[in-house]
Amino acid sequence: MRAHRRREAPFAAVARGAVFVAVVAVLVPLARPVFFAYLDDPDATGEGTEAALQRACLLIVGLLAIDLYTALVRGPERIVLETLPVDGWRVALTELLRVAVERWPLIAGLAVVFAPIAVERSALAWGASVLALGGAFALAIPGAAVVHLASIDAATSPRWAPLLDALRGHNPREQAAFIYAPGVVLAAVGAVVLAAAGGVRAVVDGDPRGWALIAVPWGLAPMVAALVPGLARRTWFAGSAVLADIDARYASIERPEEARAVYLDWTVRWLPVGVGRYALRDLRHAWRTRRGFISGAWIGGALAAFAGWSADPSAPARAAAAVVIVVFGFGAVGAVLESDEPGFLRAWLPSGGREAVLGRAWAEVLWLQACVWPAVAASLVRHGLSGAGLVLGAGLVAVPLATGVALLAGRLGPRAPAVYAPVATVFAGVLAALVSS
Amino acid sequence: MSAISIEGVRRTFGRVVAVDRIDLQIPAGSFCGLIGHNGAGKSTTLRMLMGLLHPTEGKVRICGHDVVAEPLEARKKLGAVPEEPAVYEYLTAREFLEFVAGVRGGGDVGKALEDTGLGADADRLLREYSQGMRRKTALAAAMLGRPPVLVLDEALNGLDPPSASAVKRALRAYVDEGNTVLLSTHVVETVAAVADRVVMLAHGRVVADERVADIGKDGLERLFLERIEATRAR
Repeated sequence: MRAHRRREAPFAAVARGAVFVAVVAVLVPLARPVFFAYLDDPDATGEGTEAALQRACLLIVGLLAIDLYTALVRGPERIVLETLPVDGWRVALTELLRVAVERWPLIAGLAVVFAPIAVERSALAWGASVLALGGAFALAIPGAAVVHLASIDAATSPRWAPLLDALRGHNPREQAAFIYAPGVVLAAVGAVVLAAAGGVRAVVDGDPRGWALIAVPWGLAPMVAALVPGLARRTWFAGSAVLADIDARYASIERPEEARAVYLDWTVRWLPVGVGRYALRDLRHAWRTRRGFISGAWIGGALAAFAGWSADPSAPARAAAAVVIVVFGFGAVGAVLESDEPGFLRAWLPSGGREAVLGRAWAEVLWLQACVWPAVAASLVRHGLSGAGLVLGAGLVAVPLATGVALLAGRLGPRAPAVYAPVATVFAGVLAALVSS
Repeated sequence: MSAISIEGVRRTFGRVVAVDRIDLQIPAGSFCGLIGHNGAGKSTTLRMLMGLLHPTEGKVRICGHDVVAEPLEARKKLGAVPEEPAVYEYLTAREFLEFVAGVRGGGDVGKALEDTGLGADADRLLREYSQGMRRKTALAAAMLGRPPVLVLDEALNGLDPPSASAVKRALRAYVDEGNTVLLSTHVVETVAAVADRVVMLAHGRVVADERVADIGKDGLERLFLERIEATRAR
């Protein structure tokens, strides 16, 4: 923990969280017409709050599922600790607490986003919503830990081999266990938190039995957490061997060009050589070290599609707003890549100028398509061409805008993500408000 | 009971056989050098001893503890320096060693710093360290708490001559206390200077297992080249 604390200035995490919450607070008036338009109709409070909570809770679960994978399976701690006689449970506990501390602004920010409910309807409805959000957070952390640690076991278990073989595609069997783990977290924890969101609706509609549903994630969290110590002690060390196996299998794939291949690298064939070189560098770098952003863009896209999967006439607008938000969220990858650039390289090699900028822009625009097209497809199915057109239009504006912000922030080098975050939040808020109105 | 026991160990990566049914028993109190050409299987063998890879077949034991079935117990008996040791970049060397001593339940940090010649730089952040200094830090961490077995993968690479000499002396003293060291290297002179026994690997198999005193430094180099050539010819 001391190493983590020193990596940042003291209280940097707390300050960053506070800034995030403050920015969110400023944006609440913009979020109101996007997520809380239903408050205009007094009879729709319960149903609307449930729908908004479902999306927010799934966002929490999805983000924590990815975070916990990095923390427990393929994180930077492992390579330092894997040869030492550490207690797997204590390592896991430290990581869970670290994720909880680093992600607290998510809950605080969402509590602020939901403030219009308290202001316009009732403090009780808002309090119940915050309890449901907290329940999602409290259950997602141990839930994701259990699934990820169990996936280490599943990766090498003969019992799971037939299923993993059926699912793995071109990946090593062991990798299939890790690829699908975040989805398992989303499905299992998601089902519980969706029920809790239903509980909030019941409470708002005057049925006190809803409190029991809201309490379910809180009650389950300690029970699920009780599974972590044993699993961590049994599987944490084995994780290193499983990962080594996966990496070795990727490296020994029969066709070397397949082993080197990364997501979307085939697209560079249409680029001029100079631009293609930088685009390929970014595509490879991000796929190998920042895959959370790349895979996350698909999860974000799925969430946006989910936001629009409704017969409600306002669903396309909601999906469009969600597309804008996830595009700006995952668009941060461009800024993060810039901060990954080693200092010595920055000092001694030319940046690549226009070609490097175009190469990164190409890569980022392609990655962000994953945030747009699932929602376009969902809106096309539910609302036809007009609905899909609105979502696509939002994507067509948001993607180049997010890319531009990331590239401009990237000019600040290691500070790029810190600049991107507030600027992107403002752009996302304004654009989301516009498309939803 | 051997300090290090490798029984019928085979390790494959797809169709590539990296280690091909190795048997090796290294008793307590010995200094064994593991040499071989690039790709001979040295690092794979050592990674299996460190528990970072599981054997496809066979058993690996440290002081009687199966590395796969009893990972924590095996690691309690083992100090390890992998080929590319990782450290916490934002700790000083002293803080990192204090952390490792905490994990191991004790250890003389001052002596570990002194043995590896890091005393003067002990309070600098590890991110400011050179490759060689990081390796020395990892070596100091491996020796903390005096685990009975040390497994070192190319641990003397990148050290300047005075540091290498100091580390060799420290390792020799470590073995003289009754501990066991297994050191892999490409450098025959290093093995000749410090090891009691040499095991040569070629193409995943043990091709020689000799006492260094019986063959001498020149003999060791000649034997190495002969065995490598013989394996290639086959």
